[in-house]
Amino acid sequence: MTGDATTAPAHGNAPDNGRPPLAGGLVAAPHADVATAHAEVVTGRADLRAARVDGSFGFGGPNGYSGTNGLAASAAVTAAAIVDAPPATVGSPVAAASRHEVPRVVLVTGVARYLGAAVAARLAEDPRIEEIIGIDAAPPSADVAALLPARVRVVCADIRTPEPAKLLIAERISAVVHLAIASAADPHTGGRAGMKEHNVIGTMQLLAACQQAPDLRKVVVRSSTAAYGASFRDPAVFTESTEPRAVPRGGYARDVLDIEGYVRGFRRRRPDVSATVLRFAPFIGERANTTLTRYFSQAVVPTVFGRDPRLQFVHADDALEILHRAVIGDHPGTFNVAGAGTITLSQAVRRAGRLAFPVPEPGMSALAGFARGLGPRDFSLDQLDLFVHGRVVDTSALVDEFGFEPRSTVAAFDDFLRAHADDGPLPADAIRAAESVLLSQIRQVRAGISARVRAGERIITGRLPGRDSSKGDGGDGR
Amino acid sequence: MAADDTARNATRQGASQSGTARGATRADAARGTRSDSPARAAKSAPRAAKSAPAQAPGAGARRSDSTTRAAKSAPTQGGARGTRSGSPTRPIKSAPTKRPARSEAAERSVRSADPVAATTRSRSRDDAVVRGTEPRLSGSYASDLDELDIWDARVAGALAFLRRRLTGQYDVDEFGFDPELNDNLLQPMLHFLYRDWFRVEVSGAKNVPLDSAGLVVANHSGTIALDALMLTHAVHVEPQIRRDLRLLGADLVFRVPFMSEFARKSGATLACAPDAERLLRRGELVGVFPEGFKGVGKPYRDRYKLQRFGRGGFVSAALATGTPIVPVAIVGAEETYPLLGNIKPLARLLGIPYFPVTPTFPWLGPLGLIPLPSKWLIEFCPPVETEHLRDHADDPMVVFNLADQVREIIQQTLHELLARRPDAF
Repeated sequence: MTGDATTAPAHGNAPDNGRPPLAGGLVAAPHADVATAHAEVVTGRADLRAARVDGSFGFGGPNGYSGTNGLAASAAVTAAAIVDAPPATVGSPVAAASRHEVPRVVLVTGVARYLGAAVAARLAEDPRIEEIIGIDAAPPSADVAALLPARVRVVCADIRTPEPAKLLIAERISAVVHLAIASAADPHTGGRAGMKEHNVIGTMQLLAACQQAPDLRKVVVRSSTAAYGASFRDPAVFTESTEPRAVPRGGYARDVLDIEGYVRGFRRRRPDVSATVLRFAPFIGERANTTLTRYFSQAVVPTVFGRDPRLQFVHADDALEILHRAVIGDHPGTFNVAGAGTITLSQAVRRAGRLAFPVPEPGMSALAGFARGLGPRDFSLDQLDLFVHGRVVDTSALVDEFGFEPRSTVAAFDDFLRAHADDGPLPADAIRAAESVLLSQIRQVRAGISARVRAGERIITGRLPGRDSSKGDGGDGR
Repeated sequence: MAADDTARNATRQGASQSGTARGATRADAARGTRSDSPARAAKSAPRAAKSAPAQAPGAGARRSDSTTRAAKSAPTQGGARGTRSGSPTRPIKSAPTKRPARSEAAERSVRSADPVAATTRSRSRDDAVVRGTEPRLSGSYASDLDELDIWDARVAGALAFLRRRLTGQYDVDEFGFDPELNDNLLQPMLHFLYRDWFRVEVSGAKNVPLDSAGLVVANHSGTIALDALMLTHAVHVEPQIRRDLRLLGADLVFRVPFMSEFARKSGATLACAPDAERLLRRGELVGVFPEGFKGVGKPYRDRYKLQRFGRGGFVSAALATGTPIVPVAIVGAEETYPLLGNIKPLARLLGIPYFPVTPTFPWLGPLGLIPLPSKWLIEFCPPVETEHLRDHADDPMVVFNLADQVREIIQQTLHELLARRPDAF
């Protein structure tokens, strides 16, 4: 952070400016990438351009561009600006701790984002955890701070500084939940370069600090199913052991692979610490506000011509439950976290009552570049691959290990629709109404015809009904 | 998903209970005369009887029902057709043109009692009635009222189908298979080619497992992989099988827009070990063409000569899951587009394995895409069991030997079928 902690809130939610929060969304995410797994927004050329613009013109005033150069003011601020914390409903269902006991002090990174704050709040409801410390480079915005109960102590520090290492030892932290992984490049924090710095270097530094912490027993790291990539050569369903055939094209996916590599190294060096890597599918739910939820909230949804990818989501509430169980229980290993089953893009668009607008694949990138900055964010390369080839993961390992089954992808999507069903151009009710109107009209017409036929039957006997039936036969499509 | 699973379990149980009934049917089938009817006769089969009585898989009770119905209908048929209707492999063709509405109702009640008619299936069944894939009750002048009601049900069902498609209310499995679309649109589209154009005759249908996993291994030919479509359709409509064949396709299929989606929606997936084993573990019937492009793209002079069987990956998948391998010989696909030449530079330019030159393509332009109406025979051979070799999935000797054995069976059956077929058209 270049500015001190008190001025930081002024630009805390800068990237979301100019984009109204979704109707019905209870929580507007302060950062575009809060609860997405695939929300990396700009990469490649567009990304470089964004970075250049930033560098030369200095977006957001003197303090707006929080640079990547280290020496940040490590001001520890207890979250005093908490607007009425939700009542702590104690006693959520939790699997019995098996080998390790419930951690005493938990450090959550990325609490200035929606996911981090929600996890911290969730852990605060658990009376078995004595203390929860949240850490983030920027202090949480008002929206996110509202999520955080008073029990959560927020420390304003970058994870690339020595601060976490000091905290880990001084506070005798026993579990670290690493959620500060940006899935979208944010022009206000250095674009793609800043994102990579934040994700990869940040994780490296944090794990290096964890390695020195004597009381540490558990590390939970957020990853993404983007790590599998998406191509026509991939199997239809990825299991945890599937190796990606090639390094994915997208920056986020490459970051995630690097992060998982560091966790593997950490496991080797600290075998006494139980390390859990959770590969999340894109989040969805009534409160989630991500690139994908914004995508499905448009009236006309661009799709790739001739492609109907299989998509998979995880409900944000189920993701919280899994993260909670990962902290409480002992579940070392790597797990896919997704709702079972799949929904194809066309099906999702139809369920949402939107109109699909197919764009040829080469045109998609151009359109994405053109539409940048106009309302919804465009897609990165790995998202484009996802929208061409789709991605489905196997969740049986998760269900076996955690004893919890996230609701299915279709159920999670329907839950999202319940909160956003108001404004589609093709609502299901209208289609149902049109169906019944059409059916009753056809019935009327046919009743009229048959009445006339019967009248004719009385006059000319025999042939007419026969001709009628043969005509009906021919009219029916194969 | 949980509901799905229970439905599947129920299906399994039901199927095993009706196993005895099916066994009886099969015995009948074995005793029945083989259908060696004149090829053209199939074309004259009554149109009303074209469609299958019911499409749910694995229903032993209903199978026997349809066979008996076929047998009953035999006397009502004309002489030439009468001889054929004795054949239990094709009871559909001899189904009565005139059937009272009550039998339809009875059949439907059988269906609803049938454990196989699981949620989506039973729903799509009504659509099938509507869309004309189910038996028609046309021609009965007497019951004009009944006729009206049936048409009303059909129209209502078609509209309901359209509404479900438009609002996305259907299920797609994790491989992208869309059973509702497949049953009501994709498979009926193939029926004309199957029945009238190629006049496909199927034998040995009893060798296909009805309610458990099976790996169907077939020869591949014909420039454009029509044999894959016809094999899928045969498995889908043959009264003794009625299952969904889950094909394994080359990655080229999944690279091309539209084709990839057609393949996924009709139940295909990429030919790779994880997908194949996953499907087999789920108890699906998986179809594979181990020759790959070497088979489809071979010149006409090499017709019915099996090509090399790749690395035998299909055998490994079968061994790993203990699945029986059902060798299948398909005769007729070679003559659909006789491959006379291959313009290699053009193929390289377009990034495809070969650029075909056939007697009609590219000379006649798009007309050259119409396949020649060859006569097709498909024979399912007795399954090769792999259960006892389960531990040898990664033993190359066992794998190659088994692949060779399957290859020999298919090659031999091809020769037999060719001898049985008087001429190609």
